[in-house]
Amino acid sequence: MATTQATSESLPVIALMGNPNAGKTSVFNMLTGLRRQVANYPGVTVEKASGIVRHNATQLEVLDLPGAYSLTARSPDEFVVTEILLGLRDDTKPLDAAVVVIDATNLERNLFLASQVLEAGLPTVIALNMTDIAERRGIQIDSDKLAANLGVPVIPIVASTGKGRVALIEAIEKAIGGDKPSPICDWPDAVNQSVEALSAEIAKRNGAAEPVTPYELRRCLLDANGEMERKLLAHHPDSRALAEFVSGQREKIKVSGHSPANLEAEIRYACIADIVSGCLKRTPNTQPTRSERLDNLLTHRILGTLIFVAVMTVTFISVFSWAAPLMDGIEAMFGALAGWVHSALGEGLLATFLTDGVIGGVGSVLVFLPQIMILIALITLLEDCGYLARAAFLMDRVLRVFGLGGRGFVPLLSSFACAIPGVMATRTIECPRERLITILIAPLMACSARIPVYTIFVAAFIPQKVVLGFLPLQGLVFAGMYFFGIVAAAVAALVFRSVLQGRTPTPFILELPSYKKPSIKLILWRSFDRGKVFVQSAGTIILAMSIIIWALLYFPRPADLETKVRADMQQAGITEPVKIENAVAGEYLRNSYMGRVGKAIEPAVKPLGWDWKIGMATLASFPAREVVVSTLGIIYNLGAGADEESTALRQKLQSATWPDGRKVYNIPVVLSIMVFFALCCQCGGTVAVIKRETNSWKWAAVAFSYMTILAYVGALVVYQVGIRIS
Amino acid sequence: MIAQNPRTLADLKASAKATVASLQGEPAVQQRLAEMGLTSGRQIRMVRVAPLGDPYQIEVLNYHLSLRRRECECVLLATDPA
Ligand SMILES: Nc1nc2c(ncn2[C@@H]2O[C@H](COP(=O)(O)OP(=O)(O)O)[C@@H](O)[C@H]2O)c(=O)[nH]1
Ligand SMILES: [Mg+2]
Repeated sequence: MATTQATSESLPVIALMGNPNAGKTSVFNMLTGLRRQVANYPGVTVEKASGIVRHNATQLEVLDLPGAYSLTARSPDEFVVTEILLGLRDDTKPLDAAVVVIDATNLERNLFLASQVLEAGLPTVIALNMTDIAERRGIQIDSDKLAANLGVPVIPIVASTGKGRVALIEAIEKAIGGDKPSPICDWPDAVNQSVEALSAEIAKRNGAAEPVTPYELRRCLLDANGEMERKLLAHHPDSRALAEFVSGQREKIKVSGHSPANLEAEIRYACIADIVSGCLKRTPNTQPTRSERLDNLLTHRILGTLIFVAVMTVTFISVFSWAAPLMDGIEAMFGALAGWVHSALGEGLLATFLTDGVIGGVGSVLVFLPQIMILIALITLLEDCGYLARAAFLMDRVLRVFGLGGRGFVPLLSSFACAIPGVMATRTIECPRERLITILIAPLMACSARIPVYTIFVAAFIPQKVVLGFLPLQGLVFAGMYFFGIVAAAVAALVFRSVLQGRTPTPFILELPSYKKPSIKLILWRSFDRGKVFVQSAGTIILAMSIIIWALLYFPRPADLETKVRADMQQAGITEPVKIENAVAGEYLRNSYMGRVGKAIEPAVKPLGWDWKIGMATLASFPAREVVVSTLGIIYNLGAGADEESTALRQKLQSATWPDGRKVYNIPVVLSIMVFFALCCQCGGTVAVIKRETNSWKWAAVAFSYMTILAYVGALVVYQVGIRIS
Repeated sequence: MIAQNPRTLADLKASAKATVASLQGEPAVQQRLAEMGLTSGRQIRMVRVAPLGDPYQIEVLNYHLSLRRRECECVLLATDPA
């Protein structure tokens, strides 16, 4: 690894560009053999994937860029492709060549982006991908003629099988250092004049600053509300005057009879029609294609909806039921490991640090992997066969009410299992603002970590009554908590929608690709890749949090405390070692730093109806909600083993009293606790993954703070209203 | 003569074909639609409307695209001779 990095400094760099789903990642994998490094481009949420191509004596560094239909960019995320192509990013070396991956089954639209790239002044190679599917559909493309018309090499490939790999690499090698392609479209005089005028204007105002290329100037003029304009103007001292100049030039273009917004597409598609006219043949389909017949069924008003519900149910249940045994297995494994360390090292600081801090922490990272990997595999399956786009098509109307789009449905549904893969699944949402809102509300869905919390309190305090003759009250409360999470998420989405006004309305544009057989290789690869990314990015954060919380719960440990407890127990005539151990553990915990903080903040949680023990257990569960149950277990001298099924813990909770003898727990208190845990963001993994996916601590902090405040206020209202009613 | 509202893509019935005349509305939206192939003179086909009445599925340049009603209203259609 180290040697690769050392040499990669001097290697030529190429980048893969193309429409979404054109096969860029498949080409990347074909070229590099699956080995890649992922990071984030600073300042944006876009993932930076790079790898090394090795072929005979050749070595190249290759970048896999996000999919784009056009170089027109209206957000920093979209702009990354344009910036890298033009060498405008400080964190990425200028490219030596561009490779445009185009989908042969959709030649004209894919050539739109290609025609833009050809003008960027870089040696370019076109990888004509999916030639196998094109052939099957009776689409014939004469790639030599296409190459001649475009003036750049066109290499037919099948990225999924590796066909054409060598030819592609050789073409890239030959292109590097070679001629720049010449543009294939001519611009009207009005545009050329405006570009010159703008160039002169900037030069006049800038003095010696680096010149802006005509290509960038044209992007700036033609892209309504574009990122290029923002970039040029932002760094300019006279930005206002320049902005006025730009709109003046746009007006001029309009007067000359062209609409600046549509001009580029009109010109390019006209050129493209000429270019493909001699080299593209389609057997005209007289009857609906297989894909259209499938659509008739899958988007049918009734049958389609039923199938949708069935598919989503199966997906959701699979995550739950397949992940559960694996998660239990991981927990058991780490439990056994901890037991082994204990038996090898005995009690004491080191052993406890290793078992409760380190092993427990690593276990709490890895325990998420089954859910993440299964869910990502299922979503990739749905996406790859084409169904995910249909699901978005069906659900868009519903989610739009909350300012979201159809693509938000699956991530939000996934969040009922676990918000971590749910947040990771938002990568399928193209609109950045919609994606952000979805990320922020996903943790409000009642994930599986809330179940133990609800279970213990419902079982201990909600009477086993039947209401309305057939509805079990406990079940109703449970369902109510799920519903409550959904309502809270809907409200939060509406609030975020009005707070986070987008700079420009991003139109909802959803390609509905033809259905196809999913690629098992891709599914497995994506699932492992996302698992790896999670461990790398969230692992350290969760581990650090676990160790800090462990230390706060463990220290200080004055020895006389234990002696005193043992003496008290002896006096009370209690001799069972387990009871004594648990009493000692409880006393240490109550006396720990966390316990002291818990007591200190009791005034803050009293308005919620909580005593300091609940407050402290809540603090201890900041890295993971479900920890509140086992912490309560230790506080009540039951040892760390008490879980949500523990009758002993239920009895302790039922009989817990304030110093004045009143019962701690009643219905308003229990509801206040459950509402708090429904709304809070007590999950280190979620916080870490939000940081990773938005590439900023800011949004992680926003999510954590808004949920914590919401949780506190929600619990406060429930308790205060509750005690007044009851 | 009474000025009539031009027919837009949003008015097109399922399975009907039409030709794009021009685009209207927010420039950024127009630009995106044009880039996806909705340029003047282009043949398009309304495939279907989603079960809940929105969005729409259309065919353009031999591929399928889903647009919301709002965006469809930006696409003005040429008056068909047929
Ligand atoms: N049949 C076939 N499938 C391909 C080919 N190239 C890519 N695919 C499949 O197309 C889908 C999308 O590919 P991907 O590389 O993820 O596209 P990206 O979005 O451009 O990165 C995957 O299921 C690939 O397996 C090809 O040449 N032939
Ligand atoms: Mg990709």
